[in-house]
Amino acid sequence: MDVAKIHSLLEQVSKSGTAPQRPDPTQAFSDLLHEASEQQKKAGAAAERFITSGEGELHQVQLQMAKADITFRFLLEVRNKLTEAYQEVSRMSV
Amino acid sequence: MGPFELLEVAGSGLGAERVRMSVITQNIANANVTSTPEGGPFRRRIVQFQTILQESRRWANGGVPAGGVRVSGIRTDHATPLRKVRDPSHPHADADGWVSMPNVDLAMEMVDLMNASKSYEANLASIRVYREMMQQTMQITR
Repeated sequence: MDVAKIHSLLEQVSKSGTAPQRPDPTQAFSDLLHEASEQQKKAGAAAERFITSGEGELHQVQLQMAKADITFRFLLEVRNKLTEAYQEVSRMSV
Repeated sequence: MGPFELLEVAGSGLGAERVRMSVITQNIANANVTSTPEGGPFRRRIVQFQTILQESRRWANGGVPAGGVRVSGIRTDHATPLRKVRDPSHPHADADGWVSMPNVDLAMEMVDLMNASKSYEANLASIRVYREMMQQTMQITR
């Protein structure tokens, strides 16, 4: 995940409530979801390798977990914002 | 710069300091060893660090020149003289009854150990601060 992607997502998120102007926000969200899942998998694999075969170093495992954690927290923020936006719209009186 | 590059850089520091600690530990453990596979008494080992700086990450290219550290080599200290102890009954004593002891100074090694440990903690601190910064940044949209 590069910073540009985060920036574009943040931009969308800050504009939530209005229709996103980016071509495909669902794709961006799905990419982020994918990325978070990948990081979690990597962290899990690194931890397992470290415990079972003693491969790698403790700080590397911990750092991978930190990455997974940060990515997931970001995903959560985006998701919360999207849900909030949806609820905001659904509450709109017609 | 990727969002996790800073973690990688700090991580490389952790790895390097860990290697330094293990070399110091080796020095302390072998402080009285008079026989080694290479022959002669144990000699103090010193870790050398080197910066990993990637060309693509220079300021000119719009990047942050973040460079981690790596252990470039472990050299043997031949400059410091070996300690000479007189003990004619020692199996490794020379013809005049002098035994060459390792050139490890325990006081120095302890200082180096503290240094390595504090450097390790400093790297941990930068990781902690970076994580806090990231988490606080995510609060912007709340």
